[in-house]
Amino acid sequence: MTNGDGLDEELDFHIARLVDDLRAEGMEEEEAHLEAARRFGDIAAVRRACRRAESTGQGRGGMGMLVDWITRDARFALRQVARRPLTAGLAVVTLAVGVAATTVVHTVVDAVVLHPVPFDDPEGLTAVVQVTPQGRAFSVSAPNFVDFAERQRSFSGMAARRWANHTLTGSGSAETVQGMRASHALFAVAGVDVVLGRTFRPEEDTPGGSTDVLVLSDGAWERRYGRDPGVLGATVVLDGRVRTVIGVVASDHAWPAAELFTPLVADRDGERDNQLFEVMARLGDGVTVEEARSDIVAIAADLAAMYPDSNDGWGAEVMRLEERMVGPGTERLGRFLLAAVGLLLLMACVSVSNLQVVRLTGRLREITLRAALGAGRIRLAVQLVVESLMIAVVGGAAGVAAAYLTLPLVQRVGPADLERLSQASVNGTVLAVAVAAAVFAALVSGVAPAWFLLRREEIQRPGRSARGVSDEGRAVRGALVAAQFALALLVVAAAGLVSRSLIELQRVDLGFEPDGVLAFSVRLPDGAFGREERTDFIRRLLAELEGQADVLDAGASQAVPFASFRPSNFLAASAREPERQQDFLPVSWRAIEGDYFAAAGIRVLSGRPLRPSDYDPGGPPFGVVLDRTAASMLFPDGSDPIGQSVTWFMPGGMKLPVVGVVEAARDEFVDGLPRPRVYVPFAFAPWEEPGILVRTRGNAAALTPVVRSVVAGLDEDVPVIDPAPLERNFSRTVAWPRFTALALLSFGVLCLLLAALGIYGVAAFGVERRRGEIGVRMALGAQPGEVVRLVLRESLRLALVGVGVGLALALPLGRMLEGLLYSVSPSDPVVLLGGALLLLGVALVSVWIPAVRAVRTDPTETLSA
Amino acid sequence: MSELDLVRGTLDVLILKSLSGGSLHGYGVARWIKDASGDALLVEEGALYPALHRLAARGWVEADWGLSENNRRAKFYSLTPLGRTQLASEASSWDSYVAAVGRVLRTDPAS
Repeated sequence: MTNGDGLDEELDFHIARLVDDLRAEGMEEEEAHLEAARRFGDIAAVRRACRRAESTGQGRGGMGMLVDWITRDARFALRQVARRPLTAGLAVVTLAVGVAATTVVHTVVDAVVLHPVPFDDPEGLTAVVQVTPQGRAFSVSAPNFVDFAERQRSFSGMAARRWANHTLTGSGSAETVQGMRASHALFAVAGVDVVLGRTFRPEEDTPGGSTDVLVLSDGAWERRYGRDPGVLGATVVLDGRVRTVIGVVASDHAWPAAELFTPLVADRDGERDNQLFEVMARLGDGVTVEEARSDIVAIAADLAAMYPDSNDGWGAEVMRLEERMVGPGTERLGRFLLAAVGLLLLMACVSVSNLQVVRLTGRLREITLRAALGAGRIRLAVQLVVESLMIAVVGGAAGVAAAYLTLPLVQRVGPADLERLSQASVNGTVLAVAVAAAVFAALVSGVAPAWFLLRREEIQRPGRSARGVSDEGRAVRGALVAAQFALALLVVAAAGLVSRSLIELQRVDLGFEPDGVLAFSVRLPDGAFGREERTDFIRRLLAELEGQADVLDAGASQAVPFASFRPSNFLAASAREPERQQDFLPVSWRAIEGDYFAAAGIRVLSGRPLRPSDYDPGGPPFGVVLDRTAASMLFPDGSDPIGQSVTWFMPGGMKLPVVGVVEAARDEFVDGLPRPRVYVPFAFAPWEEPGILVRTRGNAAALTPVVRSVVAGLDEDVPVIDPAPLERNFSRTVAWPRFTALALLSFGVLCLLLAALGIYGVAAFGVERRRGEIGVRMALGAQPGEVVRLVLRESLRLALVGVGVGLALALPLGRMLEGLLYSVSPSDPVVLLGGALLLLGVALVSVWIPAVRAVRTDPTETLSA
Repeated sequence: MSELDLVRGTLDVLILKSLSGGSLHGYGVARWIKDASGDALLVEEGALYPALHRLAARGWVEADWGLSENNRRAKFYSLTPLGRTQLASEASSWDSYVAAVGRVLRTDPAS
């Protein structure tokens, strides 16, 4: 073998023989060495020349040869890259942007959509829900939970939980802490470890047991107690009750918002029709979701037979926990975002490919020479792959670094209520995907250049003269530019559709007016307030608030607009009251007080708003107000509901006179028709944590200190919870659509830039190549307009073809978006045509510069050149 | 000692010729060319070795390690069948080249 091995030995032998012969001719040894060295000249240069001579030979096999090639080719590639820093830099940056976008989007979607369950071994975790007679998944009531937990044979553990705000007193002013009520099995089921002490015992969540215990989250332990192990046994006054700290759990990953846990006491004799528990359960070994489902469904059927008053028509369902946590809309938008970022990555690959062909065209002379010197085609291809790999490695590394830097930024501007977003981190899977993306990019971006190169005749058969040197390069680049425009159209169209949907969503007539309203809650815990005291406190609070400067109206409701909490019940027109619950109309209900309609900006259509006198605990049935939807559904014959009565579903029934009808308010979900709604007096359902709306003349946020002082003036142990402009609650509901739209818009801009760069390159190269021809035409009297048209026509044809292909693909791909868009069709002609025109405009502008430069060409200069 | 510069491109054919009698190491090739040309052609080492490696890469010669006359390890080159064909074709084109140049040189230009 004549590879580099042994070259030194071969040359040493020669020198030694030379010295021997010179000495034989009578030279002194030292003189002979000098003479030999002189004859050899620069021995390093000889060595290099030998290696070069070898490498231009026909390819021979062997791994050693290949490794040798690659190390040498890497050095060669580096020199090539350094010689054309602009195109190489552009390629690296393009790829880095593609990889960074892929990594960030994948990280976010992975956390929010693909792996949303922040618990160990999420595969075995399920949610157990009750199903309303109308087929909607619902929470579980305490007695039903007890029965499910006792009778089930499918789960290794079943636990219930409920979010709860607590008032912490005893250390200065009252403070609200967010906590969770949890049944004793919750920590084991979720796989949350105990850091210190212990968690709840079964008797601690049983009625009558020693339930005054408390478990801290490790975050709260650190913030509030400096990780002092002496916290065990300490007492805390929570909602006026003294509780003992028994343990600390590592729950911050699972439930970052919960500072502490108290036992969720499940009373078998409680209200079976009051569904308040979120139930999660871990499947037993080898049990499938389907088996667990039939187990639970059978129990639910039993319960419906045993307790028809509360359970008639109600079923149950077992689903994977992530299905319960991520709505189908969120999931599909997330997957769509992944698909879009895939397109962006593909776009980046095509652009890098294009840049590589540019670089090759410039190096054609050198490459042809190397081919003529005997460099095999495979060898040249290896070299190209090495170059692409280098760009991919550098671009990929830069992309991952950029992803690390961008992620916190995305988390800051991203939807804050997506709890999991804040926990998103670049993990192993995500990194593997980034690496795969970079390798994919290297391969894809290397295909077109390699094809271009290997097809060339003078390289296939060295020695043939190069003809049509630039034509083939142009054909390949033309195809790449058309592909760029097709991809760009897809991404731009997607961005347009999602953005239009978002705009429509924000223009929806909500039926109420969130501007200028401050929303907050107060906590009036059971221990400190009875039902009447609670109503009394709210009435006094609303009166005080309405007395403040700039306050127009104030009202209360058990749930503020867009709260995660959406009370439901069942209603029927008393005149046509059905026998069974499943034939009642499921409604959303609110218990309100004060000038709630005025404060929320809900128009009263007929009749009157509720008055405090409407509810008298011992007196006649209270009045209710229906919204437009409920009125039309309960009284489909169009008769005036006012004066008629409706039946509120509860054991024994309850007939209530309708006193007014108001506009329907979309205060639960923005993107769907509002559920029918009934408003009842607050005093009927004076819940622990009512929300207050205050409408002001001025800036809603500026009212916060006023509100705090008014509440403290009434009772300094009552905390003001989450005071914020109502507008913010609204924007939170469109947070995920907005995040998707923002991401797609930035992808769209990037794609436009890349497409512009691509077509500019082709046009500029075309003008350069035809400079002579253009000069002749100009010299022969061609009008500048004709020349511009000539240049434009050629390049714009590519853009047109690309946009055409893109449009053809956009229609089938748009189906992915069906059901995700609000009042915009996936084949919306305005968006598609707008996107097409935008791209053609970008193409026109990009091509205009080289075209004008062509016209300015001085004929004499080009002709004499 | 009159030393002629080797005409470019002729070194290859000289090397092939030197190996036609059997395998030689690089020093042997240089020595043979020097001797055969009556000391007229002196091959430069800086050109010899790259040429040997180039011929090997083209498959005209092959190399093998062996022991030299004075029992040292040396790399011996020998002609491949392909190299033998190449030598024949280059030698004949060299002959016709020399003949052509000779004819030209013997012809008096018409004045």
